[in-house]
Amino acid sequence: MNAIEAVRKIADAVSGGEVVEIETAHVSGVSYLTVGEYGAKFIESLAESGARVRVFTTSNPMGIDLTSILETDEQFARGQRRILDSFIKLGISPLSTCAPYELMLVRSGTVHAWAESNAITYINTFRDAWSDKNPGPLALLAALAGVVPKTEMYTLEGRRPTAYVATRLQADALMAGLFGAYVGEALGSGIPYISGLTLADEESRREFAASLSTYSSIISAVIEAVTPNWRRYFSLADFRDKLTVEEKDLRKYIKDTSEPDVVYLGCPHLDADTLAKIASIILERGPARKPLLISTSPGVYGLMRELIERLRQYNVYVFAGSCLVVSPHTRKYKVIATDSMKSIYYIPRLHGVQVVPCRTLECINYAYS
Amino acid sequence: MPTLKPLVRGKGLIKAQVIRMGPISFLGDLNPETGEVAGRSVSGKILVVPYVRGSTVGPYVLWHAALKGKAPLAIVAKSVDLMLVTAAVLAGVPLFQGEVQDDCIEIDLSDGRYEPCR
Repeated sequence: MNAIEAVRKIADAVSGGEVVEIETAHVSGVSYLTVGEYGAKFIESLAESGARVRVFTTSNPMGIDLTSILETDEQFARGQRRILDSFIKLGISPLSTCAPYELMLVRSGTVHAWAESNAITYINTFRDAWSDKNPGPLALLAALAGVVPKTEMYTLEGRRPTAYVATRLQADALMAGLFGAYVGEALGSGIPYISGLTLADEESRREFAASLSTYSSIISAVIEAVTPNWRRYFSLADFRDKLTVEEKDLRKYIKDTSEPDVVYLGCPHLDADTLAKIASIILERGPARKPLLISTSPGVYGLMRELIERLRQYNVYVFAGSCLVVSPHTRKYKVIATDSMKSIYYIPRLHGVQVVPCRTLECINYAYS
Repeated sequence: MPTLKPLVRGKGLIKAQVIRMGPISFLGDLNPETGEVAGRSVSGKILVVPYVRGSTVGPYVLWHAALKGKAPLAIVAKSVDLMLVTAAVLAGVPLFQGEVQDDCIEIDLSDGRYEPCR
């Protein structure tokens, strides 16, 4: 199938036939676990047709990491390899990360066809770079066509805040995730304008974006004094909902659960700064009693390779290019402790494995208990 | 003559049985090898649902069913989203927005006009 024709047909149905040119694309639905044989065959057939991407295009985590820390069987590895080979033929840069914003400094007002809800929400919220939530196959077609249907999220009008959210919260990674989940569940859809939220660091920004978009269909927020052009969005706002969030509201997500047998951090993929902070704690405390798994992007992995190799002697395994949401390896565990609300949502659903939410430092403590 | 809003247009006039279901997920609910949803064949029929839920893998499953000749002749949904539209376009299955109460209809796939089978 011709990608431009397909995108135009989709546009006929959703945007009155209008399309908009894109600067970049990011493709989700990459793991052989999630796309399965049907997805693999479709991607292969596109690659065999000789199609090539027209814009810089990156890809989401695979089911296997680059250094084989996550064990998978041979059949799975073969399926994953076929997808990866097809991506390379299509001209996609297989960055295998759910945090492509880390290396693409997409500018305010630029237009992108991204899939992967955390990444879309991150660039909409923290860069004011524009993307709708494109299904994985549509992001792929848009990459090949160089255009995407001009849905509401690609217009200023469609990006007006629709709900006023008042809080007084200084959030670390877990709190940012809890807050995102709470706001997402309370509003369901629309665009929240959030006043009074302080996100502690890069990891908390990532956790907020991932959680908000996992627990709702929301893919953009305007955070006062944080989102570029937030004043403009405030003046355009059409508030239909109002919500006040206090720290005590967020406790409902924390429940007493079983003792974890593994600790997992890095969903979305951990940034270099947070990884360095965690490493310094580990090196000071000595080898962990339970394995601590950390997923990151291949870029950060390459940058910190020496440190990462040293951490293995501490029962700490940093891996790149995959994550526990999309890898079958996850099923080897019974109970996973994590600071990621996105993992807390998906891991029980996709793998039937229990999860325990914890603040980053408490998660590390679990590894030593 | 009642009309459904055409979102992904097809060609020609067809007469087909209507299969009505609750919301389905292509991944998990549709067997692309047999064209069955929960034991009922939708292959060669008009599938009527309120909406389609589930993951972005859905379009690949419908595409595969089409490849095997097991896709529905058309899909009618009360509400549609980007995922369902993408699935219909990839699989080449005409998609209409609306509701159908009849058990068999004769429909023009190019404009969505239909009448109950005679």
